[in-house]
Amino acid sequence: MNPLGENLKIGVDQTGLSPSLNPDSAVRESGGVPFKDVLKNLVDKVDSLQKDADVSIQGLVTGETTDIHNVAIKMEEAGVAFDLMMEIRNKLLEAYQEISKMQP
Amino acid sequence: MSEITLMPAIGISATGLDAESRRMDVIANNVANAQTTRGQDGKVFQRKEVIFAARLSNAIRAGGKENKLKGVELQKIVADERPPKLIYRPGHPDADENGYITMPNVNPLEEMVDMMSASRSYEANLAAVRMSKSMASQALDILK
Repeated sequence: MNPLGENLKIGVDQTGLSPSLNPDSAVRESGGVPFKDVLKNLVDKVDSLQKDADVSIQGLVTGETTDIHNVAIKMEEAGVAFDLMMEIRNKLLEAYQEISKMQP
Repeated sequence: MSEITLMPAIGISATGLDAESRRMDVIANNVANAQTTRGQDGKVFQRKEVIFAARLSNAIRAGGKENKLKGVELQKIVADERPPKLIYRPGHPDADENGYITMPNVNPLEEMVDMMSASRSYEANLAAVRMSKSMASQALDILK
């Protein structure tokens, strides 16, 4: 699942938050966290949840743990976090496309 | 970097699942040892019972916004102190001078009922997990 996360990280960077747009300077002046960083943080956290789930699956197959329910719950949590990230990404992409369709 | 918890209720249900599966372990051990005449320290096996306790939050944060609901934990496994059963079996190596052996105070019927109760409680916790998950996905559907 991790390579997919990596791809998305690149995908998010390409969706309107490329350096050419550079919204950072304006945000930094107002003292806030750039939205790009917020998004990157989210992607990283979702990725770490996926990795957690992977580790617990490893634990189950290597016999370190016998708690099937904890593994299943970790996988489910990672899935929901991923869905949330996907929805945010879709919304962002949608907004970007709307803006790019605007013609003078 | 702090973890994101999208569904805190699932963590609570997970403690319930843990507790019930431990309880099932104890019941399985009771059933398996229903005929054991040589338990710990050479005496007859004693039926074991679990004690559950509400988990307390171990840290109260300065803001006072700490979630106080922490679920359940298996606090102790205690021995059932009811007297063992006496059975007349003179040929048995563990028999006393009158020919009686002490059998464990495990009642299979009781264990079966406990087992059903454990399995149903496990199921209830699973239903709570499923419901929390469906609430989270339904909330995500707002975005669609």
